[in-house]
Amino acid sequence: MKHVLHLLNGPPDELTAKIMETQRAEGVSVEVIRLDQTQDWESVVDRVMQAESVATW
Amino acid sequence: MTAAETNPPALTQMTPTTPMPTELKTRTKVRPLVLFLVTSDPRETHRPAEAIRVAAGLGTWKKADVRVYLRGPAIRALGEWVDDLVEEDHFTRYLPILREWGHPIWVEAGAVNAADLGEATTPYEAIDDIELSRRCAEASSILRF
Repeated sequence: MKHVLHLLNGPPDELTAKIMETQRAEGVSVEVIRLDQTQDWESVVDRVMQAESVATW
Repeated sequence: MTAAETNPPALTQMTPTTPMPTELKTRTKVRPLVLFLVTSDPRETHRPAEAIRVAAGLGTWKKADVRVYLRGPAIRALGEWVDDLVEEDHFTRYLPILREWGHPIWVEAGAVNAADLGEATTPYEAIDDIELSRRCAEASSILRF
């Protein structure tokens, strides 16, 4: 299964939400990290390094 | 010489491919696909111009397959008249580099601004939001401007 990591710096806007929703509907594994709510930057870096696809919004 | 040769279309619009292939035909498997997703208004901010400049700079190194998607007001970047856009010289300088790569700029299907382009300076392909979502999933990295 394709895995996509979405990095957001706030709540998703309409376009971002639509893309994530469509990807989920098409069987893509969607992971979301809110950068504005995280303190664990080591984990973020780790997830980015492991991700097949990273979207920065 | 035919009329088409004397007046070649400055605009090449392709129809969306349906259904979308699981692998983009334009993608090179050995290189990551980097997608610049531009939604900001080039009349109000330098961000679209900066996206085009960075995309051209990144793609020139041939280390990644770079694609650009323009949505809403950002489509004005492809227009015949860019005089009223912020950092308009970036469009005239760097869009030709993207054009040389031989694949179209992706734009939002049905965008209201498409009619305002005049003769678009760069070939483009209109894609709908579902197609965009699929291509986003194919990308190794997405950068939004």
